[in-house]
Amino acid sequence: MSKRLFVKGNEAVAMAAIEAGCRYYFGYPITPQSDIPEYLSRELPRLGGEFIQAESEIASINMLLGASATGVRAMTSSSSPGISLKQEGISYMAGSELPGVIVNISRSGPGLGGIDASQADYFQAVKGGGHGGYHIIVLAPSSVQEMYDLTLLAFDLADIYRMPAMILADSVVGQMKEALVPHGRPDTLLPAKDWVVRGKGDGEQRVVKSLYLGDGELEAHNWKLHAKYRELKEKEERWEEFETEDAELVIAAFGSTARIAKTAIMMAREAGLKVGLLRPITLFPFPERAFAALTQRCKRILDVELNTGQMIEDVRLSIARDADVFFYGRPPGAGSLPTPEELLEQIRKYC
Amino acid sequence: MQQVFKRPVSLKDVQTHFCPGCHHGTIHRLVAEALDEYGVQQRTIGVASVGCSVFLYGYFDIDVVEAPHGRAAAVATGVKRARPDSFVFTYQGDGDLAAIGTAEIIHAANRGEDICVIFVNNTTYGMTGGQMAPTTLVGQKTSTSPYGRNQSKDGAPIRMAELLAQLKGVAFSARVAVNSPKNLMDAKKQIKKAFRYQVEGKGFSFIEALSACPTNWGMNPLQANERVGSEMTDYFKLGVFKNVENL
Amino acid sequence: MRHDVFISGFGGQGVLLAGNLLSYAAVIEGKNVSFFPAYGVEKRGGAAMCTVVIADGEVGSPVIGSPSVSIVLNQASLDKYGSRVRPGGVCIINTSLVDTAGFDREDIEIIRLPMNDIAMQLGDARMVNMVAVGAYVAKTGAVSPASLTEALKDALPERNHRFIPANVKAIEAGAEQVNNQKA
Ligand SMILES: Cc1ncc(C[n+]2csc(CCOP(=O)(O)OP(=O)(O)O)c2C)c(N)n1
Ligand code: SF4
Repeated sequence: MSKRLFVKGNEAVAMAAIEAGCRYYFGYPITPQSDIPEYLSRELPRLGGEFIQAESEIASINMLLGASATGVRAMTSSSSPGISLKQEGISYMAGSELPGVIVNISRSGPGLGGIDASQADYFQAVKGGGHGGYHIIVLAPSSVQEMYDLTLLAFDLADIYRMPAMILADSVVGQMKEALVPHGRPDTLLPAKDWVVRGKGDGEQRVVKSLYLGDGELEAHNWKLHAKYRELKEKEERWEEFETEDAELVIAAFGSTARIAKTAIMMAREAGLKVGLLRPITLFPFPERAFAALTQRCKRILDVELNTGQMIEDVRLSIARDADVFFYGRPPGAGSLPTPEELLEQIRKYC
Repeated sequence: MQQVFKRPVSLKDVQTHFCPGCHHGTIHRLVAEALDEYGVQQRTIGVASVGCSVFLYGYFDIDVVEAPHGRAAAVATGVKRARPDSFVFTYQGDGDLAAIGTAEIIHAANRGEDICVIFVNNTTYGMTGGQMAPTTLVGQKTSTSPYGRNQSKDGAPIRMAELLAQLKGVAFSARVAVNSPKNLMDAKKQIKKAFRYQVEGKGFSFIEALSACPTNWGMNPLQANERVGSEMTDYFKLGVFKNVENL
Repeated sequence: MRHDVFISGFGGQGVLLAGNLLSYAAVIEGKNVSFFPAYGVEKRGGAAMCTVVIADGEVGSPVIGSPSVSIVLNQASLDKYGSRVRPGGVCIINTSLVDTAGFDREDIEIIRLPMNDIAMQLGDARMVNMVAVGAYVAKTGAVSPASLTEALKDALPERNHRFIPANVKAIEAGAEQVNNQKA
């Protein structure tokens, strides 16, 4: 077993990126994700890689677009206001079928909002935050180990499906320190990148683009993208179930909120209440089948989010019809992070 | 007898959140004095940027719009065009103005918008914890340039006052510092000139104020003040780079 | 077992180092642990605070509303976190800097230690955090003293390793005070 380290969630992301073979990072300072660029500005030059602090998030996402088009593994990270600025570039990357990893250590909004933990970027992340109707892969880690594991996975999935992949976390998961056991990337088989721009030499011309003007061309292109989203739903849904077997009430929560809910559930179990947790790990593709299967036997879901209700829409769409879905959430901001004790009170309401 | 330390009416009587030795507070004061001088406080609309000066509205007793990071010059353009009678100024850091907001400042200046821009250059991103800025000096270590700014990869520090002076739309552009009594007096004079352009409806004026950030420079206030007068002014020369009417 | 603790004081008292030290010790023991520092707005004004959760099984929430133990190094922290200790829990207070006169909770155990004075007697008031950790561990057994000693190597930067013996003494002094009060 490799040594158990004790690191911050944000650092785990940076370490995993390096392990995944990412040698190109483009970013712009913003709290609370600065540990990622700070770590990579130190490490990448030693590995012969490139760290660029761009003039803006708009520039950094487009640097990612350019690097990805040449076939290398590359990454950018930011937090909510910066992720908003990246949406144009993400849309172009989705349209151009470019892989690339985008990390959002989200903070509270709208606007300048605050720097506290938030899950209010859920819609933006999973519904295609830019224009044109697309999706990206969205992974929601809830521990430092998962920050590492899912970053490795994000690079692989992005390459396999040729689309951007996002790590959606917040300052709880990003700023906390936990034990981490680093490991190599799994030897997942990756498709050859036979589409990258490289200077054609005597070979065929290759173009990376999202403009399709010919009759029927864009429609066909969109159907192709759509087919990938369906394939993702079939193959890549990931989730965790905790104490759901005999549960009469199941909490649906992701990321930091799921962690808080876990303690609330342990407290509830001690009090004899039959409560469990279903935690989506992939937010896109959303683990629809897990919810459908669960609600065959459990008829009460309490959706908990650090916002006023976003993922609940996907929960509702996924469940068998005769289950009730309740909601508890608070808009993010200073002092609005719920405690396990607070969630226990909510659990009691529905048990 | 002349009262030297009277608080300008445009400034509120509150404690600021700035770190000890930070020059933001002094620059705020000079701006407020200039507002008082021309009696424009009542019709002033300030545009706050995102950085350590984001709480502008907490210290200035004027109306304020908070702009998204880097967009103050565009927001100010909207305000001034819609309300030409108001006195409009932006107050921006070097990350805000010279990195993410470069497009906005260049085009507002080029259009010759009738606004004043106060640009605070402290060679770093203060609020976010000391990352490299477009103005970070070559060799300077920051949290994202741990080996020092490398000119061949990161570029050379941008001299905004000189750069903007080249644009036709700019009426006045100067660089000042507040690290010594002499520089402070001069800064006061230049800010007043800059404001006069707008008061007289004569176009875009730009003040670059060199500023100390002891916290992120890892220095005490004295050392930081010293650095402004030496290393910084060596590269960022004080002076007036444009003054169309020679006010 | 599951141990959760708030550690709070002002910047410079080594609050975060204390939390890190406990966490490293838990990591060494193969336990699960989360360390969550308050940051941003809460950090302003020189306050420092962190939550540490140590568990044999899952850590669960890294944030806690009412901890079982609260280590309080200055007055502001007592005012802010004293009332949040879970009934039946423990509050370990640095009486060198904290006046506990108005703090009269009867549903918790209150351990009063003049931590600055104890640290000063050992030669350095900066070791107040180590005295606190020693007291906490003696009270709860969350980690063993041996792991704490071992963890000092991880928690302190290399250049400060020469202070490890002094820190061990401070941890022991804190522990001793608690053990004496027990006896
Ligand atoms: C779109 C966006 N990106 C990044 C940030 C984070 N951020 C807040 S303040 C700031 C810059 C601070 O530096 P500067 O403009 O130099 O002002 P100072 O704090 O030094 O006065 C940044 C990057 C943000 N708020 N919005
Ligand atoms: S961080 Fe720097 S710029 Fe910001 S208030 Fe402190 S000294 Fe001033």
